[in-house]
Amino acid sequence: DESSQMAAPSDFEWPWQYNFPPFFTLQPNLETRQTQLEAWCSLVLSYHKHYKIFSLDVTEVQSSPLFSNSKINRKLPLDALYIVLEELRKKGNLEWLDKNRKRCLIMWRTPEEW
Amino acid sequence: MKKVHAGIVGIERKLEEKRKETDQNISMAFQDLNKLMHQAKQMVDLSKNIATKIKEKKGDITEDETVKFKAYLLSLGITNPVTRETHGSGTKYHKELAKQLATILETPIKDNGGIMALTDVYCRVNRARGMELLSPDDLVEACKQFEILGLPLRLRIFASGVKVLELVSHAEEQAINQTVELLSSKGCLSADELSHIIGISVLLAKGRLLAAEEKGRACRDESVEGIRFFPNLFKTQSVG
Repeated sequence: DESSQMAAPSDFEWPWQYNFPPFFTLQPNLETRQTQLEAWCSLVLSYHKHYKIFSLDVTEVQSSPLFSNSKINRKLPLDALYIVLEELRKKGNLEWLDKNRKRCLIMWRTPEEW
Repeated sequence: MKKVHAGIVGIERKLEEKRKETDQNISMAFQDLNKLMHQAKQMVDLSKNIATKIKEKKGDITEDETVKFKAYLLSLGITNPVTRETHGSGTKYHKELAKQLATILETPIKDNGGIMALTDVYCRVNRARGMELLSPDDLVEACKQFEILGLPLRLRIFASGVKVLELVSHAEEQAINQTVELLSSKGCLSADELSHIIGISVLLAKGRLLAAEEKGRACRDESVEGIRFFPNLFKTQSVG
């Protein structure tokens, strides 16, 4: 685990969902959506852990490869992005830094685990 | 008065007389219409009275009286479903119509893959009739009788509000399985592509895909290219 953090940034391993176009559309089926959100949460966390990033700026992150896959030409819409972030907040992995929900902290370990 | 009037005055008089005559004809027609409407109004009042009386009695069996009453209302052109609904389900006319529709439509629907949109049904039936066409309301009402009468057809309303007729034997599960199989073999499909492959209308193809999605067997990809459906890998593929 420690060694993977030291690896070159290009070594991040994307999950299979990242190349699956429906991953970037919020699924209307509630059960499916839950699985989808789980996958998004773990992707966001492992991505931040890999690159050792602790904060996230909503406007900036929209164009980051994390939420847009240029290879399949898909991008997570803003409303879906907020739903993913809220899901992370509910899990205790995220804390908003301002009222307008533009910036937040990403904690790949919850405060209890630290 | 002598009828011999020469010159312009004569012509004018003649015209005037003619105008008066048509005037009288027109007003007479309207008077008759008024009388007719007046009589119909009495009928309407009477039928409303009867409706309230039936309500008071609260009968939930289809009595002959209420059936007769509905036939009256239908011939008057008053549909009063709010008060009628509880007093006899549908009308005799609609029941007969339902039976007729079932015999006409069974084969075409079977050829169509067991399902047909109600608008298509409407076109088919009325094109075949030519005269004495059905009103959309009558068709819907008749279709509502299918299940009660135990006919081999069934009216179904999708979540989108689209109404379809399907064969009772038409198993939805099977249709979904077929759809999911096609999705897996092609990778992904739009409603348009699916309609081409199995030869059903785009509307119904979309209905099938949405049904598969609802059952958690498919998932969607919305983009500028439109909506495409994929097999639900979120469910089948393990997390990782």
